[in-house]
Amino acid sequence: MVLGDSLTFGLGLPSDESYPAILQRKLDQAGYRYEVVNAGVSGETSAGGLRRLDWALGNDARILILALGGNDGLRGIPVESMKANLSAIIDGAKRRGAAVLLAGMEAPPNLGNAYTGEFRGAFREVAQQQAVPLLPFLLQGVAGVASLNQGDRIHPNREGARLVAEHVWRSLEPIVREDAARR
Amino acid sequence: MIRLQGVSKTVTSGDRPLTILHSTDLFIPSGQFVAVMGPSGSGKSTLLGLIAGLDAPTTGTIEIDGIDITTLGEDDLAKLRGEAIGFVFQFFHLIPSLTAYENVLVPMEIARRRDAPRRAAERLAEIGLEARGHHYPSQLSGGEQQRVAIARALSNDPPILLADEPTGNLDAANGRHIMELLGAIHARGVTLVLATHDVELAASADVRLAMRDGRILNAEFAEPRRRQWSS
Amino acid sequence: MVFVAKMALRELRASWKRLLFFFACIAIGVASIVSLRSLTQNVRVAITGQAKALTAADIVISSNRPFSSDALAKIEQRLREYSVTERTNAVQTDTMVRPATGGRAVARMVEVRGVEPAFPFYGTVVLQSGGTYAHALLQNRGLLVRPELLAQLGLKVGDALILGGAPYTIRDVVLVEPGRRLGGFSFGPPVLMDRADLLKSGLLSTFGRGRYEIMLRVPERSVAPLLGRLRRDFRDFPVGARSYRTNEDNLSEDLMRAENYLSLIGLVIVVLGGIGVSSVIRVFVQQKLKAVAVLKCVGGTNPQILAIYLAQVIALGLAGSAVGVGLAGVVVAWAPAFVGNLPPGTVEIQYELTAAAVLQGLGIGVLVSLLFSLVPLLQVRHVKPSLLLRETSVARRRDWLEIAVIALVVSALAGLAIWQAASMRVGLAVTAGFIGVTIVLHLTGRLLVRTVRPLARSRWFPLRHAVLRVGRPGNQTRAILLAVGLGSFFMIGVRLLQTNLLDSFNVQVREDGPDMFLIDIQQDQVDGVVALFTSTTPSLPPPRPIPVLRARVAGVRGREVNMESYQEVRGRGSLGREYVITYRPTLEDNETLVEGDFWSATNDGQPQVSIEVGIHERFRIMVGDIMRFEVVGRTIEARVASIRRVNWRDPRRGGFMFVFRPGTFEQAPHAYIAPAKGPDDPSVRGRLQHDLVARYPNVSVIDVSEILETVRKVVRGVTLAISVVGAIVLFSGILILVGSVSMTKFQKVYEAAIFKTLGASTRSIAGMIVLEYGALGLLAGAVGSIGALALSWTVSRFALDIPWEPSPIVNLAGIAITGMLVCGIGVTSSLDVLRRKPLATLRAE
Ligand SMILES: Nc1ncnc2c1ncn2[C@@H]1O[C@H](COP(=O)(O)OP(=O)(O)O)[C@@H](O)[C@H]1O
Ligand SMILES: [Mg+2]
Repeated sequence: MVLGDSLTFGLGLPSDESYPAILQRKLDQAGYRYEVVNAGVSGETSAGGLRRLDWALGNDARILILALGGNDGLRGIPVESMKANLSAIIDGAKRRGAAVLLAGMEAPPNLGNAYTGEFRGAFREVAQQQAVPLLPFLLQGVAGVASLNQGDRIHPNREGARLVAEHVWRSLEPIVREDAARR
Repeated sequence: MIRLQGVSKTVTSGDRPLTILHSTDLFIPSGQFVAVMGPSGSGKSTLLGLIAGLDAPTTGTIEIDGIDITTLGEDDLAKLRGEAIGFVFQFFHLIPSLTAYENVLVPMEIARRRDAPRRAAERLAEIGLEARGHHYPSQLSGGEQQRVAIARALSNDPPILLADEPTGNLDAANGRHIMELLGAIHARGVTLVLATHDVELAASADVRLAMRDGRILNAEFAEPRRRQWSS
Repeated sequence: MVFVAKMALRELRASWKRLLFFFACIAIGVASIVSLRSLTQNVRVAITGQAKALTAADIVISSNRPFSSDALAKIEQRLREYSVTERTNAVQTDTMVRPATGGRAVARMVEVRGVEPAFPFYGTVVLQSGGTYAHALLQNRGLLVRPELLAQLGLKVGDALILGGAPYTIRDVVLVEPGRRLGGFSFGPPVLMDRADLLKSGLLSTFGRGRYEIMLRVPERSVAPLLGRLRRDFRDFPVGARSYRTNEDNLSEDLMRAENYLSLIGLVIVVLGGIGVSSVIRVFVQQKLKAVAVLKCVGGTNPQILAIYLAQVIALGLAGSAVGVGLAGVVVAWAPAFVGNLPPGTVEIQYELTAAAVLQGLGIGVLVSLLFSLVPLLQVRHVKPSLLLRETSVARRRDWLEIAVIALVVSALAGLAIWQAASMRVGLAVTAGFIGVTIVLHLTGRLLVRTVRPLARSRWFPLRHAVLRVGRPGNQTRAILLAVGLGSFFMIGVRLLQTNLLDSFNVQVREDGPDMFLIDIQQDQVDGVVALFTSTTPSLPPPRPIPVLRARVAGVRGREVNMESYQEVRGRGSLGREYVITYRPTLEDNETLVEGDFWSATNDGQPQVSIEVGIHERFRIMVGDIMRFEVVGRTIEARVASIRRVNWRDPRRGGFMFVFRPGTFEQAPHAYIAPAKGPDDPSVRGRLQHDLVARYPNVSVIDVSEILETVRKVVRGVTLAISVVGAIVLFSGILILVGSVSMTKFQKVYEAAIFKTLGASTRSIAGMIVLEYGALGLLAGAVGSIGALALSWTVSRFALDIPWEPSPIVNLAGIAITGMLVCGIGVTSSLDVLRRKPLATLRAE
């Protein structure tokens, strides 16, 4: 289960080329029998994610990849509020027995160092407090590289999505392995 | 010279054809004075109208000085009328929006005569109305209007003058005045065809034609000219 | 030639009084067209100025990243080619600001724009202090901000603001700022600063999101070619170019519409004048028959005589046009009092006659005089000089010349219409309507004579004679039918168009319409948000939150929907894109049901969806089809229950391609958006927005009140102008109709006098006139009214691009008023006969 925004949804990409779709293929290739549910919704903020957690998670979600916060950053929503939302989401997932991988986001630098610094720190703090693994930045190596993004400079293109999937897979695989072992 | 051969006129009024002029042959040599007589409705106006080309005959040919006018188009007819035929109507028919002087002037202008203004003034003088040239028809008496109409008819010195009951709308004194004018014109050698039902007026004519129901019944000749008439 | 000229002058000298009406028709027509043309040109100049002020430049080249050296080189090259020397750069980004000391300790997002000294090329920055804007205000870390930012942060002019980690001083408050894109989607109030400062701030480092602009001042004739060139150059690059003329908002569309409409109206008035002219000339020729016959008798040829009358027409046309121009001068001088001016901060309109309009007016006046006189004048060719021997009516014959002339006149008229309405479609629609209505009126005239014939045996004197008069050859029946029918056709048509046009404007300027949009309200916050509004502004209608979800169409009728290529995804041409959906029990005001039920009484539990007509047409999805949607990770199958049409121009409740029946998504997580009407007082408004965001940080507010207010002011002015012009059409049209109909009285008056001599009572003669004119008026009104319906539909649909609604009241009132008007004119113009002793009338003839 990937709970995210337009980056996860794969805005501007055919549906089988979003990074969750690629993760599905990787899981299949590695022989894991998991189904990846893309619960990415364009424009979604952490507040929205919190509210639809129940609907999205259902009862049989094993692993939650939490990739929200990008839109909070674009809109300059106060960091405290985002932190609270993320924590609450992780709480909810834990209650249902799902493992969580928190994907960090960055606020664009134009919002100023004060905000971006606080924003980046928020993910670290939440991961520490909740003791969940953290992928420091979902778009690591992709953001800001013209050849990996679409014209809007926000959303990864086909190649960018592939790199994101690789990047997520490195953090995801240990969790999957552990979860598969427990079952 | 006017020559009619087999000229008739049939009109359709309602659905029925009605012949208002039966086949007529007529020859009027130049310089003659012909009076056409007959009661109202006998066809006098029809005959004069045909001769002037104001209307087209149903059958027959009409020659004016050797030209068969039944073959002419509207505009050529108009030109011919302007130069060769003067017409005087019972109801004067001056153009109400023009002054007396201008009414006389117009035919000359149409004929592109350079001396039009001077001649128009002369014509007015001839009829004794030089002082009234700037008056509009509505400001003139019937007799005066008819004199202007005669001056207009003569403005281009036509060899032929047709007059359709020119005195019919005038009192006796004015009528006499008009007849004197016409007599003087005839005396200058102009062919004069006068329609009238007044015997007195017709008295001085060379030839008197009597019409009834669209036919010329007989011709009466004044003595000296008898030999010139043929039919 | 000399003769023709002299003759024309002599005739005019005598008959100008009778042609006064001709003169008046042309004068009215030309006055309208010249004043409308001048006014629209004046307004256009002002609007162009306004558009430039909105853009602050002629052309703006923009990119969402710094211009590469290649791109810059290319741009430089183009600027040299088009010899553009004046340019200035700007850059814009979103950032967070917070008070340095004091105020509220909160950060706010703003849209900051950095400009250089040359900014702006057009328009003025209006400051609250009343001072004049100079770039010096921004230097040494100065900021200009919006009043709402001060309200939200609790600051005042002179306080310091932290932006990009450094303190700046608030130097003044901006009320109007040129060059900011209207209607842009922004999360914060605008702030103006020095571009160099912004670039140095570090906010726009490698990953920083900014908008980079090069603003140009370009000679007018180069704007379009340079724009096209740049667009071609950068087709495959993330570089865009727009000019002040790029129509990106409703406002300029509305103005274009208004302008087209006004041109059309000018044309209609001229044509109405033409109809009047043709009526006068018809009567005039009738009165001139004898003079024509005399001219023919003394040698005048047809071409000469035609030339005499055409010369008169031209002379009168010219004189009438000149008077019309004079009248237009008066109208234009008075215009400011009627139309008012644009709101302050926008460009002033200079009201004056333009040379182009004057020349056009003179030309059109003469042309219309000629066109509408030509056909009736041709009748003089059929005048026989034998008329002088006895009264005969002139036989009307159609010959090839006349048909050729009619064809020529019609095509000239079509050309004129296209030229004047500045649109092929409108021009053709008007001409086709004109021809169609003329033909129908001809046929109607014949049919009328034939159908009423049996009534001639009626015992009732007025009816019997009314019927006899209508049927008599040479009667003015057809002239009245034509003039009145065409007149009512245009007048009712204009009225209907006006109604529709104003409706389409009004929708946008409703005072109670929403002026702010709240987005991303969570389910548990809805009540709180609404409560906040109702407590702040109890008098205003509370916001009505709309639930929204995002969904992707996965398939239809078993057909999988997949986006094959990037192009499809980017062009959004595919059904497979993401849609925002909602659910509700009833249709909104801006929706109409095309097919199906919204919703049916029976509910079998299967989800139901209503689709927009565009989806139905583009993808051939029918009522009854089963669609599969992916909604936040779940797939839902829904039956298409209905097709709706959304009026996209009416923004009150937004527009959705897919609306679901309630019952499917209540359990699904969804956010709300809420269009809301905020308080008008800016400080209350600022406080409300602050409270809202403080309490519900995830809720964003998009404030469109300022854009709306500008639109409203302009639209209000335009609306007033259109109403005034509509009244002018009505007034001049009625004047022309009155004239045309009373022209026909000459003959009637004479008859009435004879009837009276023969012992008919005044009452029965009046009855006869009422019956005759009433019937003709009603008939002509009905034909015109039906034609008007078709005209307004065509023009609304294909030229003005506005929704069309029938308004039966206008139609029915049009018919009734036409009937009554014609009847009234008939009776009044015969009044003197009815009152006077008959002998007086007979003698006057
Ligand atoms: N166009 C016409 N239609 C019907 N009847 C006509 C027409 N023209 C002339 N008539 C008739 O022809 C006859 C001759 O008329 P006209 O030549 O005017 O006689 P006159 O001049 O001798 O009085 C009259 O009975 C008249 O009614
Ligand atoms: Mg007679």
